[in-house]
Amino acid sequence: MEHSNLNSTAWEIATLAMVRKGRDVTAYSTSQIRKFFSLAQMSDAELPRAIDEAIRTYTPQPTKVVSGSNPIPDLRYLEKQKKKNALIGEKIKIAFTGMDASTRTRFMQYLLWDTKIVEQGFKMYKDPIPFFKKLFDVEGMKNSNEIIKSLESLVNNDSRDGRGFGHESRNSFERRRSRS
Amino acid sequence: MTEFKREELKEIVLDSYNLIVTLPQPQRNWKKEWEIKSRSKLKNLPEALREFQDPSAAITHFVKNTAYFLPRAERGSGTDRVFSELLSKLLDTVSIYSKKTGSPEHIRQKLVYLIGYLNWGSDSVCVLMNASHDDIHEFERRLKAMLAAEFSIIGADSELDKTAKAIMTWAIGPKEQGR
Repeated sequence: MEHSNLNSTAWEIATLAMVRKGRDVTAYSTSQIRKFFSLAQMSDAELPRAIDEAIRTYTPQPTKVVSGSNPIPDLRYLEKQKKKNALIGEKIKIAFTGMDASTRTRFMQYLLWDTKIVEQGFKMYKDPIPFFKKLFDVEGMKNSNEIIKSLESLVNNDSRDGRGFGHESRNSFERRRSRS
Repeated sequence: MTEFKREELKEIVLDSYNLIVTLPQPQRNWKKEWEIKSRSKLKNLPEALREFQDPSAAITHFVKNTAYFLPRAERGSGTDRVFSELLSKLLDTVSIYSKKTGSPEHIRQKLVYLIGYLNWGSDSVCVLMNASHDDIHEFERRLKAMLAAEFSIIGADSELDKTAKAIMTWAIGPKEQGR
């Protein structure tokens, strides 16, 4: 696999792995991405089964929503996390096809770095899209339009589907502003 | 070995000083010496440019490495926001080099020199501050002497005052400078 393809595939999967949690944009589960990373050195024969196993055995950390006075597990959130994990696992499995172990390791390193770059970009800038466009340009990425669209949807996504924000319509920035 | 034209060298040197003034301001360490916090982040950048033989891959890797490491918070340093400014300016510089310069290998070499000068230049400013023992006029004299020597070789004499002022403002602050 050419380095430029490896890079754009890592970006594609990294942006898919991102979710909005309140004010922040973050990877759905860094530890789960690291888990996939840890499988990169396995043999071609063992790898697909190991990824399937990592998908099957994933148990997201339970989170709770408050209903009346009793906190109850947020099943919708758990289901979303599992679905996201299965999607990312399948994408990684496809991307690994035809890569040797060292290329897989580099690919997963990039995927992990990319998730952190997205997190940091959203923290640094109110509108992070120009930053990402500039970054993709200097990384020499061709056809970054889909990835930009994916990032734009994170900017626009105000669905609060992260922990503890399930039923809120305002972001924490706005909440603070309205208090003052 | 890559040969640079005089104009290119001038561009790289001036760009390196433009980047220096986005670094965290020098601070005194426990030995009462001036230093730049989180300097290690810069020290590691040249390695990223050597990671791949293919220069295009090396540039991509360097950019990604920079975007990942520079804004990352270091415990207690408080420099992450400052380094994000450096990142932004560095990306602009890489973009300009990529558009102006034809071969990826030539771009890589320009970046190697840029980061090298950024490291040397920021170290030099701290050395001059330490050697000046809190005497601002002495620091200014030494700084201008250093810049004059460099800039006369690359034909950038007309940039000397502007660059010296920018570095003085960055290193000791605009208020201190007027004293």
